[in-house]
Amino acid sequence: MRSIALISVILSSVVWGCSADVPGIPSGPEGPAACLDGPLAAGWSGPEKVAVTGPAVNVLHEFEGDILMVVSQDNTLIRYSPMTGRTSLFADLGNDRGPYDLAFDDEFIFVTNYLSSSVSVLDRNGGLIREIENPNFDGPSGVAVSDRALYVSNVDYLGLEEGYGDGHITVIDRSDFSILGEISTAAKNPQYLTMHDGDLFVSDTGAFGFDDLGAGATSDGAIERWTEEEDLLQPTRAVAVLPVETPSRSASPGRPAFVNGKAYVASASAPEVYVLDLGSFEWVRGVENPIVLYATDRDALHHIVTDGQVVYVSAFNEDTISRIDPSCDEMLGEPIAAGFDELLEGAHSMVAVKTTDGTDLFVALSLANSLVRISFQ
Amino acid sequence: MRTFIGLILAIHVPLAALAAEPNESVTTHAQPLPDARVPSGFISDVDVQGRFLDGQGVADGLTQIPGVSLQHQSSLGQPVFARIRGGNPRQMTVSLDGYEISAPFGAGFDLGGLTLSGVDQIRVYRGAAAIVNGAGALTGALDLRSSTRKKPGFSRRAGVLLGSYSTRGLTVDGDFANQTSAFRVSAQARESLGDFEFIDPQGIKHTRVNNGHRRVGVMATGERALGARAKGRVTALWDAGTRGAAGPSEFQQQLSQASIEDQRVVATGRTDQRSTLDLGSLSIDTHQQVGSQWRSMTYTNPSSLLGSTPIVNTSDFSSLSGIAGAAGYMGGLSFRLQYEGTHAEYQADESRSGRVSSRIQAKRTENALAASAEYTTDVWSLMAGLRTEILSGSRDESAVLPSVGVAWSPAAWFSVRSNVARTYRAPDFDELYLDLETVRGNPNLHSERAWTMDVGPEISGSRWHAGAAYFENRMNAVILFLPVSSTVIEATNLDGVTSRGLESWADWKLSPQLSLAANYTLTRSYRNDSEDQVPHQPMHEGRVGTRISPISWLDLSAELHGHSQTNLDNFGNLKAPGWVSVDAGLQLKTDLGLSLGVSAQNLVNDRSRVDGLQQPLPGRSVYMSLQVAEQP
Repeated sequence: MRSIALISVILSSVVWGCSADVPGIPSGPEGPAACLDGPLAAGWSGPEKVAVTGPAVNVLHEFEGDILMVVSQDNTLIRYSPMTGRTSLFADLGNDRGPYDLAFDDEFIFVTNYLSSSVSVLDRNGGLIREIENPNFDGPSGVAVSDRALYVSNVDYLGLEEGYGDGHITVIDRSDFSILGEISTAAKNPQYLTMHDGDLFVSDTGAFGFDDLGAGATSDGAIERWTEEEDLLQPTRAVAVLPVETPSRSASPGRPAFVNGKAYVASASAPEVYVLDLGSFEWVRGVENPIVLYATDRDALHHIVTDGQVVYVSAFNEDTISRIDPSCDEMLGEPIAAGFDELLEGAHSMVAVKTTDGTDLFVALSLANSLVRISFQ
Repeated sequence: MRTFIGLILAIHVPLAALAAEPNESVTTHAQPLPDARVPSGFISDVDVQGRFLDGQGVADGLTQIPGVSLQHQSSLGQPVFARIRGGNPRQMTVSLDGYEISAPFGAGFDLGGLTLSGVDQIRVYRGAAAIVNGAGALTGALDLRSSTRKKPGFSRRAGVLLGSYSTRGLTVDGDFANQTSAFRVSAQARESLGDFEFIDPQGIKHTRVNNGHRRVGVMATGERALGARAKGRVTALWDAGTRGAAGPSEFQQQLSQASIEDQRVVATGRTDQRSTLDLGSLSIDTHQQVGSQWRSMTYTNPSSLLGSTPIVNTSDFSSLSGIAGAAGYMGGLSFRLQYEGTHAEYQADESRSGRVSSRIQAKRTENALAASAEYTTDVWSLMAGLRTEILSGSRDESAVLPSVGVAWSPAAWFSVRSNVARTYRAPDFDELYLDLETVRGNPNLHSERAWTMDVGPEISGSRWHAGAAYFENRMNAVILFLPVSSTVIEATNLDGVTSRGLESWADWKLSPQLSLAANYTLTRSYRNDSEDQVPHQPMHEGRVGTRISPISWLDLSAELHGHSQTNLDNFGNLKAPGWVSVDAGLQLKTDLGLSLGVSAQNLVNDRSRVDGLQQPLPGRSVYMSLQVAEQP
């Protein structure tokens, strides 16, 4: 499934009962712990709208203490400073790009452009250095960078009728940006790439189809861990499959969040979170026993982040944020409203920023074109 | 107002005939012109004849009417949608000489995709006055009106247009009239490359591409007296064209080959009989009208955004209507009864790679019975009406729509009017039955219903007049395509949408050579659970215009029009800045019937204007025309 950002391109677009500590901003009290030795559910305040983003933000990344937003429908990167509260244009990638995700190292920022099948290479001030174009790119989506390689995931989306082809990762020499080759992924639709402890994690979301209640998985999903070897095209691979035997709401893994030696992966079609033990690389909470976020018959889309203590999960179709205590993998407190309106605002990508008082969670409301903050004490 | 009502009572002129032949003395662009069916209604006529040679379309004259907002998607020949009093473009009807030509699908009636051939005026019904246009006219209605020569004789006229963006046009008119008949045929053809430079929100200059159009239209209108007390009128229109369907300006390449081809054929005929029954104290006039329309449209995009599958959408719509009515007069009381029946059929296919992936086949029959009565004195006009709409076919339902109106004219220079009406719009076919993976209709939709009300005074002097009106529309079950999940956008009912505001207008004929006109509208349109203005609806908009004829062979005109910022989403976050356009025109005329015109729009060359997200508007546009007219 392509992201809501691209859907938007085609087309085109709670009430809080608690007393507020800050006038006009909802808040919630501290709640009971979910786990025997786990933390209490922190008190919170928010959401507070802190910025207007641009149309259809697809992903947020923390960058130099600020937040970089990939604005897919505007072909831009927007920078928001939590310190000053100011938003500024960081980079205009040019028309017809459809930026999807970004990654950065000490020197460059790399942006995958889904529609133009290219990768923009920017300096850390947002200046365009070059644009990598290569026939090997086929719907570039995820991007990650190591000391030696730049990895770009290609989802090979063929269309609503044809579905997905076989996905692959393009491996690029970090030193000169030459294309070294490609590696096929274990499952279809490799949407996200994430570096963790020097390893590359590939999120193979799997193919999607549509029924009366929205999107569902039609093929296996998987999380892959690649450990670089001398030959960058021959990494050591571990694969954890989320099986889909018949079209199903379950599976469809997204980008992982890492905490306590585990990877937490939210589904992009069901209100479920799966937990992968990084030691055994096996699912401890898989499709047969997921962490269930809420009940729904419809499709669902989630993103996940962690501040190292709590796992936060956004629910696009619910405009809520759920918390999971990773010490026992149970839900912590009730879901918190991330939006303001009766209409769907699309709680999407998040960034968790540690503060002196706790954690500030920044959430992109992708349909409402805004960035909100929920502060946890 | 009082004079007009008195005229009806005195001579029993057929009401429909009066509506079809407005008194020239009150046909100014800003002055409300009563429709006999709703004498208290806020109704205005705007002259559009000649705008073709100014490089304008059907819609552009509507800036002269308060309460009407236009949303341009691009330059000349590209889609233009109108909103009336805070409603959306679907919530109004469009008719041609009283026969509805708007169809129940699409984003609203595209006024940009229609030539001006044969259209002399647009009659604008605002708010409750639109109730006479029946279902669909939730907040207003437009009637495109043709005319024929009034005096016996023969006249011909031809003009050519050249202008910005490689625009070329040709217009030809012929008028004939004798003592009993009149006939007019008008044809227009226009093409434009359409590409223009614009500045995007990041300050980068780009070129708008795939923005051209070709359009041709022919309209014929004939009138004939049918004996001493009856007349008949026939109007036929053929209008066809093709245009580029440019996508969002940030993604032009993806839609650089997309195009729309459409064709419309309309024919309508009407007869009016005066004093069909005359019993002395009671006189009854009658009228009948039939009409038929066929419209086809094909959208082609060789590559879609998601994947590389070519998309072809085709739709065919046809309708057949009949109207029969009577109006009776008895002292200060008049009454009207009218039956209307319409049968419409619609088929739409979406094909990918030659395979039909979604199909709509729908039929709808509408039967309506409208009754109204008006009681008049020298000072008052009180009107009450009741309209019943019965739908059958793909959807069965009915609606009862009451309306009341009052006009008070204590002096010749002062009047006050007020109206309240229940209005109604059944869901369009695509709102009900569209069945794409990511965009879906909803067969369980409720129909939109609204209470519309307005009140306002008008004052006038010998060479000026001014007025104002407060309006309020309380709409329920408003239908919008909204995201219901991350993957699906679905037609959805929204309860509680209100639009209210203030219209004001004035015109002043300072001398035979100099006139001024101005209007301003304040509109607040919002969901009742939100303070945010609905998308694309300006809060403030207005126009100031002047026309100067210093010497007999020279006409000069200038106007300034624009609107405040608009929201581009439902949450008041993304906004399009407000803009102002300065336009000017010049026309040199000779006694030989030759005239040379120059018209310029957006003289300050603001190239950053938008009316919609990533839909840039052109900068300065200049058009020249040469016209030859023979009017013995």
